[in-house]
Amino acid sequence: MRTLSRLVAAALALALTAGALLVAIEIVLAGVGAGPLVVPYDSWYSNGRSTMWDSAVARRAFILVLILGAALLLMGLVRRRPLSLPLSTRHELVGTHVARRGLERSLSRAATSVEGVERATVAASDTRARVLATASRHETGNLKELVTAAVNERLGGLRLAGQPSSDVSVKGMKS
Amino acid sequence: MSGDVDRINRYVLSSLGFVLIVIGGYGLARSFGSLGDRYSTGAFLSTNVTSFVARNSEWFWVVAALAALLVGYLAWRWLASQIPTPNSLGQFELNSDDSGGFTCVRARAAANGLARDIARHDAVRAARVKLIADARSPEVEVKVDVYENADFVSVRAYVEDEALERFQRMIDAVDLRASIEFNLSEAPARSLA
Repeated sequence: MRTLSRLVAAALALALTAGALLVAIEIVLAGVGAGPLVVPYDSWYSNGRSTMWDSAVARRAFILVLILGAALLLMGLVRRRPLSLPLSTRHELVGTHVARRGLERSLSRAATSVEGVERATVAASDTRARVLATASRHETGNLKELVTAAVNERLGGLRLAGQPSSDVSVKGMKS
Repeated sequence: MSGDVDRINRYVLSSLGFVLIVIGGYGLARSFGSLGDRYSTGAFLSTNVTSFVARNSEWFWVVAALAALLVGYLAWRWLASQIPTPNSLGQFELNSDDSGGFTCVRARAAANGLARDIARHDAVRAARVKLIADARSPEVEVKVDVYENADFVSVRAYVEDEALERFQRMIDAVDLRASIEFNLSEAPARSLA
């Protein structure tokens, strides 16, 4: 999502820059009596005079604008997990962080180090570490407690500033 | 830096999205007659609009051109913020005394020295250091790969209290700012002392 929003932002910024410059140039050229350079504003003007507000083409255009706006708003408002999580401060001038992806992989390894856990996926944020572990057998027994302990031990050793809580769920292997 | 870009993008994309939703919503409401029948049956560019522009063409197009330039400038600033700028320091000057001479240090050499010092710790797999900011007051960006089974508190103490302290003395910096990112790596097969 982060990469997509950066690509969209770059494309939009480029389009807006070029479009706005073009509009300014066309206005200046029209002011000195020259015709349209790139923007066919005379035919746009005719279309604007002949197109009614309740026409199908206008409605389609507004629906498109509405959808585009909703997509941009969603892209802007969606909450993304941070790239790194802050550690507790020891020196005023030194900022320390732990990389989120490395932490997630490490917590996943901590979870799979528990006997009976086949695999584990982790999604960490500054407030919570969600662990979804899959047991190597049908019955999960006390695996949830064991995985929680292993994950908490690793998290506790880091002294993260926010002290994220662990949220572990374990599912049994399908027979 | 990358966090700043993301924050700007979120703000601008949300604002643009909101504006487009307002335009689209208004257009649809008007098109379907929610604002009254006489608004929905007229031409998109009504006579009122065109005659207003014609009456005020002396200033209208000047304002329109200036508005377009303003939008273009803001969009250009937004575009420029997407492009990362190289901020590595080439060299920096050590605090000089009254003798009139001065000493310059190559930033890469100093950074490599700090990286090697950090990597001396048993629990550190690798370290990368970059010096950034202005030549008067260098700032250090450190990335440290640490074995996950290590005593993390002692690694931090070594990096922050020993290695950085030595570096600060070496480059004779008074208030050295540092940003350290630790990356947890899989522990080697043998246990660490």
